[in-house]
Amino acid sequence: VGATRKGRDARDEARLIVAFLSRMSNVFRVRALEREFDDEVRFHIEQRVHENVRLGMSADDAEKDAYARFGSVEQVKAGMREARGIRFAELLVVLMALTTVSGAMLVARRSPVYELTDGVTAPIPLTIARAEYTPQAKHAKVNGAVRVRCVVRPNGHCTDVIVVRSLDTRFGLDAEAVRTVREWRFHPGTRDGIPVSTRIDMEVRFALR
Amino acid sequence: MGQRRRKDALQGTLDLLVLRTLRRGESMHGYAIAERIQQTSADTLRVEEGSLYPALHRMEEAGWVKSEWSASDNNRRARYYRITAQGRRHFAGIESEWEQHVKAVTRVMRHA
Repeated sequence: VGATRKGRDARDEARLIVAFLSRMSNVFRVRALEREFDDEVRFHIEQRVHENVRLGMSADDAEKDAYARFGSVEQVKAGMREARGIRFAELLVVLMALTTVSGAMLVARRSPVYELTDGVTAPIPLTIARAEYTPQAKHAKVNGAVRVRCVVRPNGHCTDVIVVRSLDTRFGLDAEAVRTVREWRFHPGTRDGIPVSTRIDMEVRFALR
Repeated sequence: MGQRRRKDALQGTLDLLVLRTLRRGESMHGYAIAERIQQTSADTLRVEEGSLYPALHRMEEAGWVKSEWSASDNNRRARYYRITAQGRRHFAGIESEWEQHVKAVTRVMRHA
């Protein structure tokens, strides 16, 4: 009886390892695809900006026009994910389950926060909440970007969000940028393949069309 | 339901235009495909340029086009698409469907 139990345990373990590896390989595939989506979109927009400048537009107008003609970058990327059969909600659940089960989340609370220069891979945003204008800011025609700094935890959530370059404290756009970033979910940065906490800076843009 | 059908029709038209553009056998990146469609339609078909990309990725999953990364004219890394044999067969099918549809509508417009 003891021998068969041992055999079963070993098989279960093997199965767990296989499941784990296939999840990880899926994570890597998704990361590679995400990078390709970004590169493809960036190439298109840069081509358009280049062409616009050639036609005599100012750099600023050229960029604005390129984004306007392209449409929502996030929506396009969501469409590409859908086409490739990537279901991010699932992936996120897998990632969170992995970090929770291994107890990494608890450890991470106490473990160091890495800077991007420390040989860690950058976190990748998976779901991005849209920053909304406050009516007052819209009325005052505030345009520009808020630079925020946050720590992306191994579970994909942002904590310790602070504003490092303010755009507007009067009409609430700084606060809106912080609120938005707290809602974002990331595929965490990794060090030697293991999810870690990373400190990153991001820009939340506000542009009136 | 109505919205779903409209989305399907829009996707179908986009597939037709993209495959028509690639039919000559050239490899083209998304930007060039968008430019070609806009130019040949004299700017009447102006979809948001970004909407081309989900379509291209869907079409690659379906096996109608194949993509690869290579250097562009200005030496940037770009994703180039080319039509496959399966894509040509699919195009022939949807092209004749489209022609029949146009003929039918034209008849109604003339005689109704």
